[in-house]
Amino acid sequence: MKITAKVLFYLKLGARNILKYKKRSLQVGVVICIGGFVMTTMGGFTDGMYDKLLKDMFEGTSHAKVFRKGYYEKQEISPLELSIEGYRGIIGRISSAGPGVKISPSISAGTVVSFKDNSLNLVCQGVEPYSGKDADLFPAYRTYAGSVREGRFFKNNSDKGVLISSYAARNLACGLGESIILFTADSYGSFNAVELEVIGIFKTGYKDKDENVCIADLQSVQGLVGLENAVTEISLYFNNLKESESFGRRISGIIRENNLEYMDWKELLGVFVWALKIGNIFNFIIYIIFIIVAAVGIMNTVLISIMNRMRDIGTFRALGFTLNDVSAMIITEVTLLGIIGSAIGIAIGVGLVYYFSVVGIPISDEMKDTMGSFLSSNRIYTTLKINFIVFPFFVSCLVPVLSSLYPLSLMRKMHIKEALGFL
Amino acid sequence: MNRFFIWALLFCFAPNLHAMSAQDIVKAVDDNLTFREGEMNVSIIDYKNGKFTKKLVAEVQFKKDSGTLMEFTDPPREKNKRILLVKDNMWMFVPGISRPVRLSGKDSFMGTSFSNRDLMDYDLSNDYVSKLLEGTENEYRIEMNATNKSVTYPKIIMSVEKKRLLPVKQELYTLSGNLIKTIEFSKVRDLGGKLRPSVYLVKDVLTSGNETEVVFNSLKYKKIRESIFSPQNMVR
Amino acid sequence: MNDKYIFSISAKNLKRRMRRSVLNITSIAITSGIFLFFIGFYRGTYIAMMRESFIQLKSAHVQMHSPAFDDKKIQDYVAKESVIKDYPPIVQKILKMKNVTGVSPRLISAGFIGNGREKLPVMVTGCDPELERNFGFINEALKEGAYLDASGGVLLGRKAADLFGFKVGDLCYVQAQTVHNTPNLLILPVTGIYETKFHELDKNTVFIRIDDANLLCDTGDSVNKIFVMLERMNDTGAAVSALEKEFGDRFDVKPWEYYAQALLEGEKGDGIFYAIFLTILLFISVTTIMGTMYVNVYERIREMATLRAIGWQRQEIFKLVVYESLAIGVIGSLIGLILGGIPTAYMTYIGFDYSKMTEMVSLPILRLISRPALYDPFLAVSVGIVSTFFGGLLPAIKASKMIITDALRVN
Repeated sequence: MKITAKVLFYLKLGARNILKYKKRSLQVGVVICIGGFVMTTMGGFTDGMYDKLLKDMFEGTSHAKVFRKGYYEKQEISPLELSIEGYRGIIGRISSAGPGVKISPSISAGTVVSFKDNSLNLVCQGVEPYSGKDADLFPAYRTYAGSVREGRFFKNNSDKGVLISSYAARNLACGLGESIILFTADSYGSFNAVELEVIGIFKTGYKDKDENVCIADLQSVQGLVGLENAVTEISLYFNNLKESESFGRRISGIIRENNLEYMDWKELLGVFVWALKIGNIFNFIIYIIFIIVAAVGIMNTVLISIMNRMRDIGTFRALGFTLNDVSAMIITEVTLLGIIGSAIGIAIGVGLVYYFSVVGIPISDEMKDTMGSFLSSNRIYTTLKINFIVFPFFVSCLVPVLSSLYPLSLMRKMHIKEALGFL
Repeated sequence: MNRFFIWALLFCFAPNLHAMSAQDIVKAVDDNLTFREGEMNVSIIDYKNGKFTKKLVAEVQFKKDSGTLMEFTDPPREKNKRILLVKDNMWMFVPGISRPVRLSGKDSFMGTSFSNRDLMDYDLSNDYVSKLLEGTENEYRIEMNATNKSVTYPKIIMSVEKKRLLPVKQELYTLSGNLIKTIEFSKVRDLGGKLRPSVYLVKDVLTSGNETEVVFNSLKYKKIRESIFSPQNMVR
Repeated sequence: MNDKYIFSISAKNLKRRMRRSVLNITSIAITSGIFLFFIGFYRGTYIAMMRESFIQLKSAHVQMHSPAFDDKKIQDYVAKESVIKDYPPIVQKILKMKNVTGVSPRLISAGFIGNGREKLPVMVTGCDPELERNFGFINEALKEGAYLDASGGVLLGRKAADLFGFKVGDLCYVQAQTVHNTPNLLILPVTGIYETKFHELDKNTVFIRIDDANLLCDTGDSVNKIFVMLERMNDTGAAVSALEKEFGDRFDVKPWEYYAQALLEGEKGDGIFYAIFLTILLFISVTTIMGTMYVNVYERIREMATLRAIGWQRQEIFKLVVYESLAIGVIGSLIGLILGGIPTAYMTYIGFDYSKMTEMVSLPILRLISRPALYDPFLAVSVGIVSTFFGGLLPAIKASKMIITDALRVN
């Protein structure tokens, strides 16, 4: 028989067997369906959520950062003596090493923000939000730019002023256009202050940004802290995230010469990456347990099915079908079951994931506050990705095939005479 | 005769009748160091880890029980910054801002080994209860314990020159009895018509090599208007 | 026919289709093993570890504060309306109440610690060292130095101490706003360094004496919260009622659940997930058993018809099938105890350090542990047996209802 004719024959036979042994097929099909559903929904809910959180976090963290050596460990206390001097030259050299890389310098300083009789402690970030020849908005500031409720974001890097959150505006009882004073201990150890106009009021939804941060132009903050030719960090953003790891090696000379340190996203998001890893391990364990139990169930059912059809198999063998032909027939049958079962299960799973990607899963204010750095709204949204369809489909088709290998091996050991006389 | 002799004996053998109490000594030191009102020019030289870091020069206007107003004249970065101290309150004004900012009295003064509170006009005699410790031939040694919790240093041990009742050294202790600073007083000269130390060397005991030298370049009595000691007046 | 004899036949029947039986036993073993692990894990991690850690390190069992005090408005923690002035008699009264093991009056304010140059935002917690000693965790978590004593000082967490390079004896600047909204600062020696592994405590909280806190905030002799610890978590409801009865006209009384809503929400969500997962596994196991038993009945229909023909009753045939599936359940569950018992033992005695997560979420999820109860193995075995019972039930009913003559004629 030609190959295509053979394949068609197996498919026809497989479909016939599925319909003939309805209960058994239903049993296997339901298990595969559940398997596909579980993998798709788990993928969409957990991986999809992590992917979204990670994407949001990059916009707050960047793909990589360059600091003066020792700064990162102490960044919560803003050690101004660990600043990057001559940063423009360093940025120029980094830019030459990676022409497509977006680069943005900034300073972080703990300040007291004062308006009339009210004051608030905030971390002030002095930024140059536009980078590159085309002066594109650096991705790390998209969150702020996109969440301005009143006023505006910076128009360009020379634009002076400060953006505060609606939380800060409420506590300070100040509004758009008013002038607030930023006060801090500068790098000389003296006190210094600068007065800036509030050009915008934002509300990102992230608790740590809204309650702790204000954004001002880099030059004003440099003057405030006495670091006129220095910054505390240089942020980098790549076209492809994976570049961040190799880029550090490419600019290692620049880093070493200037007593700097390069940290890619994995190091910057240390705890989050660790949590992601733990989450992935947990998901993997759940998948494995599920696959084992499902495989055992399917194996059992296929075994029963083969044993019950041993005389049929003997007849096929007597008619001239080889062991491989018979094995192929059975594999085709279970594969068809796998395809049908996983298609149904994945379709239901995709529907559920899609629903929650639009509507979201509501969470309480308390839960949102507990995860302040990661959640910007009271809803968690799932994400639908092609991975969460292809991978479960592949696994759900593969598992029944693999489960049938053992029963097939038993069948292959049986002689034709034995098979024909099998009761 | 006998009566006279008895009085003479009492005079000779009862020196305590004429000796000063600790409280009196402290009061005398207060009187010698402070002045009612006037102007002075001070230089504040700061050292960190034994190396010179900066020198601030300021014009100071002072009126007892009203306040102290300092305006920095040097270096250029600090020029025209002003500090106002009134009782327990302190404000700082930086040129270019529209209003002064309030600070803590105990924060480090412009990054030096002083604290802001060190500059405020407080009376040792009013804020502390004093007792005499064993001194030397030329110096009294006095232990002062704060009478209220709001002072920066709950305990001070001061060495005072017997002859001129001028402080030689102060050891400043925290609540738990830890020595935090020492102040050495030297270069006594005529300032504003009184002999006083013109150099205060404040040493940070916590960090070796950190010290601040305050040099009184000039001091003169002058009538000072009370109205200048207000935060609103700082903005000009 | 007695049950023992029927059971022995059923057990022998398992050997006739050995492979099938092994697969079914494996399925039940995995399911009951996982069930055993998850109930111990849920009890250990969620109930014991998370709830108890939360109560011990964050909320205590009950909190009392002025009605004007708002937990969400950190800036107003120290305000004239938020403080409680005459707290000592209140504390003494609470100490005498039933099931109360400790009371800690505290003055909590947002502030900073520093070395004179740099500073770190913290919650400055003024406490009564003697009451705190019997109350909470600080004494046990102390790694260096000594507890707060009469002379004062500050207790820092390890992470905060490392940030500034503080050692015991170093002087720490503690800064906060007074009740008049003016900045104030105390310079206190570091008397001790503690480590709880809870990031919020180890980095962003410091403890000082209550009188120092009052001095710092200029609040006289006041506190803004009274924390109450009880003998058991279950005493909370009764304690809240008693405290409300006594002090409800002056103060708000809140149980730990009020503060632990995020924790309880997470617990519920995870619980639902585990329940769904176990249900799916059980469903697969039950359907597998059911399928197998149906086939067994079908293959042995003539045999069973013969048994009926020689005098076996319907319920005896029923029992024959059910006992076979129960035998699978018993053997599978016993193996499952070993499969589930090993990871449970690991998690009970060693566990998994999860404290890094506290850098991300402000909940004291310090370790993943198991806390098995004596009845857990019985539960796991019961689940295995009950699920196999239901798996074999329908086939057994079918077998018992067969008509002898029709069954004998089946080829």
